Amino acid sequence: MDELSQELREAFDRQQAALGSLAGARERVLRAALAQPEDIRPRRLPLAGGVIAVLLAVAIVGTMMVLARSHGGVQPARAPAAPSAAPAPTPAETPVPTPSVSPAATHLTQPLSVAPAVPVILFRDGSDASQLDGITWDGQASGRVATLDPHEGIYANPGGTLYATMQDVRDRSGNIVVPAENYKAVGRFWADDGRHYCRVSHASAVPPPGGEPASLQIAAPGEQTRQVAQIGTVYEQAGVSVRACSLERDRAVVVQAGAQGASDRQVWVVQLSTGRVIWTRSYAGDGSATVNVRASRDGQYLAEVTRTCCQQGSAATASTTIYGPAGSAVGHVDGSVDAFSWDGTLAVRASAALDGVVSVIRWQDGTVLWTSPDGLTYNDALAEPSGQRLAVSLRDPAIPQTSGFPTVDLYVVGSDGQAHRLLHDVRL
Amino acid sequence: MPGIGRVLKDVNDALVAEKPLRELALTGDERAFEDLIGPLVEPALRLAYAMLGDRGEAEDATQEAVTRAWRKLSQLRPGMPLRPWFLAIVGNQCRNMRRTQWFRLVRVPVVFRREAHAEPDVDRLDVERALARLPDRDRQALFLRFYLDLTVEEVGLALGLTPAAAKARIYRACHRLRPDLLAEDA
Repeated sequence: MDELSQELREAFDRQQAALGSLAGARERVLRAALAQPEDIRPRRLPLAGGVIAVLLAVAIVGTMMVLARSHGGVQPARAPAAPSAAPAPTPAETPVPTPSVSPAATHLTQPLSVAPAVPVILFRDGSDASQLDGITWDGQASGRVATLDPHEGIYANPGGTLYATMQDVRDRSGNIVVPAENYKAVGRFWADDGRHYCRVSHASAVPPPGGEPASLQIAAPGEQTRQVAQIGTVYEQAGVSVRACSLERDRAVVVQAGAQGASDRQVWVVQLSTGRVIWTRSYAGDGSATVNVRASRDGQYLAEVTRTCCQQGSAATASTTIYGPAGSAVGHVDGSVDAFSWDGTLAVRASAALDGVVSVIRWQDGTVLWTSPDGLTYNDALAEPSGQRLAVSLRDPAIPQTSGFPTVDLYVVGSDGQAHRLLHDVRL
Repeated sequence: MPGIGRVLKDVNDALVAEKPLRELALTGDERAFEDLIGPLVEPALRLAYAMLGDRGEAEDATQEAVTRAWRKLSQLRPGMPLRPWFLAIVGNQCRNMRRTQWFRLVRVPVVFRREAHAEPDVDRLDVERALARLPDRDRQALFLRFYLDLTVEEVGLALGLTPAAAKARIYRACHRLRPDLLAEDA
């Protein structure tokens, strides 16, 4: 035992050596932690709920931009149908990255000038993290949108016409659409009309032991929030989240996370107009595998990703079953489907190990349309509103992350497999 | 480095004895809170780094844990040691971060990944490989016990377990580790 404990100490020592010097870290962490709004202080209990909401918003707004999918268990009356075609994908040609507009190279100083309805991708200026920039999907127009706190995450709607900050909702001209006094950031998930949003609400800022019921709501800037359905249970360490919100298809996808949030426990597809559960699945969570659910933007297709990791030293594996609008299995993909195109026909597939090649596939027949350049790892993907293109952001492992937002290259991939690098070394 | 856990434990024990600091902090005295929690920031960072594998994320997690500790200080029961209480918050915060889709995709695999340019060293590889195969909670228990030198009781508090369960977890983790090492030795 002594020998083992010594070996363990040495192993941990080697690991911790990579952490480097911690000189100044204590001061920095304390300063940053306590430089929070006055009302987080323990004696100001009446404000605690609001503050906790803001703190949660930090996490959610900061990550929702990269989420657009994630947690859920089962119970459809239907037996999993034989998955439809999923032949082993044949590697497709990987287009050589073609540098397009590269705002990272030049600090954008001109305001973004595009028609209000034109979809853009919002990102942080490559040379100034406090500047929010926008670029059209074809790269033809780009420019400055707003100034932000460099540490603050934003959560943009699919077209980049509105974005939520920690305090409010703004349009891309910088106008405040929802002021702070009317703003609730927590759990917000933009709908596919770009104006409404779904959110999950619950009574307490910190759920009591045993949890409390969650409610799915829908709202829009300037409109009253409408209760859709009571669904799922929120625990302190396991929440309920929205994975899709579609006015067009009148449905939302809501997921219950399991203990510690590592695996989803249940997914519900809910009719927004009535609150009716269209179909649901739940997952046992036996510890041998994790399940995570992603959804197409309209909730028509769900990707149920089952991942096992390293049992008896074996490699990680991931496989995905795709469910159609009525909850029956309609496809199977070897690997982890992480995002769908707007129309649901294309998918972004990551490798099981999550550190290898990323591809864009046509999931119904398994055709591989594009594979990522060597040496880059997957970060996130966005679907072009009303289009078929996907924007895939990739990280270079050699570039260390020094803030809450990793530095990425953004590739836009068309349904024909043609791709180009739209952005280089930016943070989304 | 090996002695750091013991040193910090001594510091923490001293802090636990500083009842007035707690009471001052509970009245909203920020300075008292800093004095109380400050010595625990480094072990918290180390724990977060062990769980997340990224310094930036470790600092973010620790920062958030400090904020939560400040907010929840009134929940620290009289007589409960501060260190495992705070490390439990750090552990929960790390798990919250790992829960995000982005983190699962990008970060988790780098924890305990061996650097490609490191010198070949079979013994190191054996231990690190075996550790990497352990469930997160087991690895966390070993880190708290053998690196930060928490007592079994403190490990239990930090993991939300009874002392007996904590002891069983540590024993089980060691047992899982040892067959791995033996098998690889063979």
